Amino acid sequence: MWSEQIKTETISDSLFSLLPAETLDLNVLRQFEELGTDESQDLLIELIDLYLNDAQERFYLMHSALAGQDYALLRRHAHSLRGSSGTLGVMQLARVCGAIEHLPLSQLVLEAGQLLDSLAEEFSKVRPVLLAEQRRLTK
Amino acid sequence: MRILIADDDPVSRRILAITLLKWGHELVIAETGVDAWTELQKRDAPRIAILDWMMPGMEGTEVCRLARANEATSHAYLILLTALARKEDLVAGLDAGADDYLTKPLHSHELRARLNAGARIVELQSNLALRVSELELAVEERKQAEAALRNLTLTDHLTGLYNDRGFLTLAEHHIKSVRRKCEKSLLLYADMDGLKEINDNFGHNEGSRAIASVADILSRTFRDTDIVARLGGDEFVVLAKNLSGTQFEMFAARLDENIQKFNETNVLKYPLSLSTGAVLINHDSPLSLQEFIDQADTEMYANKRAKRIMPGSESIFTPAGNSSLAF
Repeated sequence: MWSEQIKTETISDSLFSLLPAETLDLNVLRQFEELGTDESQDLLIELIDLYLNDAQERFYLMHSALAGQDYALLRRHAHSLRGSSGTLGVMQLARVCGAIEHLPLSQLVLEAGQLLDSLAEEFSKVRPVLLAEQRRLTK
Repeated sequence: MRILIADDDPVSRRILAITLLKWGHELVIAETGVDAWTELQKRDAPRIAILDWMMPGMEGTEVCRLARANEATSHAYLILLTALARKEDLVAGLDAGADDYLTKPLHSHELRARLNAGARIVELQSNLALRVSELELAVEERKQAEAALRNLTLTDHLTGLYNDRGFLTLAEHHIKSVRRKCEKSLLLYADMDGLKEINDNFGHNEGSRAIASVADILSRTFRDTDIVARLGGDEFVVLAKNLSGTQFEMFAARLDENIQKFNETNVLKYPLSLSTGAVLINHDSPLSLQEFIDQADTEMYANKRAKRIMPGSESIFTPAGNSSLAF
């Protein structure tokens, strides 16, 4: 994927810089490095794993909820995903989740499909950066 | 400190757990509200719980409501964790029974400060509970000590007469000597008339005064060597030692006379009256002390009934001096 000569660290730093803080707030993520345990790097690797897995499962569950026209369930999963996204500084994704949670039902019915698409789009931007960060930390 | 954390979001749960572990806390971790409620009900449940508000199945607020409604869990310190930051949501959370709340994303300084506040309250509560149970124990020990002391003492604290224990001890001893020396003694059972009415009309202090007055009359009527005792309540017993036949009547008359004299002084607002029954203790009688007492009691009771059916003498407020002393 990337040339062998370029260090992964450099890549991840540059990738972070490519994404505006409104999309992924690096400072939020890095605060967990400062949690101060000896295994804080391992913790970040673990948190990214947990987040990526949980988010993918939530997408699946939200699509199922939408297919079943269960908007309350859809909002509930959006709420959970907003929590973990906000915690790791995945800001734009958290905002879209917030919209799903708080839009009036009449509007949500009309826009849910589109909102799920934009969640997927946000996720596709953030996921490689988080994976790269994981690789940097693994070194 | 042991802390229960409950959050269905794995990321928040892990961050919370690692933060609390780093601070040296011991954790019980639940992924749902139902699991959290199960953990809270266990015997050694953590005293502090951090509960996510929105959890599938059972929300954090519902856990709070259940915890508050149950005696065993009502003292848990509950912190709600919420991404709902609107004022009305927070009020609803506190109304559900939460002690405090934290908003997501968590800030470690705030978490630490709020946990410290919770820990202080939990500690105060458990100190208080410990103190209460110490006091309860002390009161119980004191009661037992008093009861033990009452069993050891031989005198009645109200009248200064012997109590039942004192009487039984001394009378038993005396009866043996009666049998050895071929003597006679008199056992008198006396019951105050109308103590209940005195208590009802004038209060228990007045009742105690009446009891003390009867004790006084009995002591003055009999000799220092006789055993005068209050068995309890309004019941008295006298063991008059070494009597000749004519002395029985003399004591009966003297008791009537002393009661009458006392009533004439009007020290009390009502006349005192006694019902009595007596039994002679002969050296050759095979009865036990308790059987003598029972016999005298039966005699007394018959006299009391006879008095009741006499017209105009149902009340204690009849003229004094009609105490019947039957030999």
